[in-house]
Amino acid sequence: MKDIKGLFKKKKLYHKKLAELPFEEKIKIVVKLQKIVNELKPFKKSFWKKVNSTGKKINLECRIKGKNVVDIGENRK
Amino acid sequence: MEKVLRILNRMEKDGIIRKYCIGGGIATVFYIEPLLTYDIDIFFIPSQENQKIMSLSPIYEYLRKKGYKTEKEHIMIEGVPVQFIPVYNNLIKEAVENSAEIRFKNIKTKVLKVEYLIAIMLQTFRPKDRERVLRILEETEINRKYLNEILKRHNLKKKFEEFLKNMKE
Repeated sequence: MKDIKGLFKKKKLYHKKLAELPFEEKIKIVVKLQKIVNELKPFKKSFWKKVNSTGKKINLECRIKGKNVVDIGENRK
Repeated sequence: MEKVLRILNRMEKDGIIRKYCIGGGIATVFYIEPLLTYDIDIFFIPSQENQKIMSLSPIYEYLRKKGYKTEKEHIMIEGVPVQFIPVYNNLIKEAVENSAEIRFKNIKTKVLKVEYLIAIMLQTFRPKDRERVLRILEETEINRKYLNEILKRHNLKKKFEEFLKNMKE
């Protein structure tokens, strides 16, 4: 338990240190994050796993936007 | 980013907008650790403030002439999606008026002060706003007196207290 507490303390410190980086450096990291996510996007599109009450699959991306769109196969790429 | 800031400063000089400042995710990144965000939100005070309907047309027209294209609600400036948001209530207007002057690679620009950023996120209160408020409170120094004054002025003090209470539970 003590170890975990120590780990979280270190993690908190790490986030604080990141927050103290110069703005320019932070923007560079944001751009890198965007690149990573863009590279992952094609996989995200074909990632179906949630099932709604009718047993049909739900488009995860649409769910995030608050729209439960039933997958009828047309959205799948 | 630098090119976007130069264009924004030029727009202010040319009188297309009276004052602008960076808001949203990029403003948050100024205060806390980097987070994923896809666009630059620009809050602005239009040059003709007294009009009942705030139009984005002068901005779009100005940028179209410079060769920038629109993509849904964004204008792509040098490959960066920029969203222009007119000051739509008193809090946002006050926040832009009191924005902090900063420099990005030696280019002067303005960013929402952290206390206003919190107040605006309390007002919009989407899940991502709530998460960002928490991270701000954890990772950066805040002028509590200044924040309280803003929250009182805009009837957000109770909401903030409830938010903190819920987070502790």
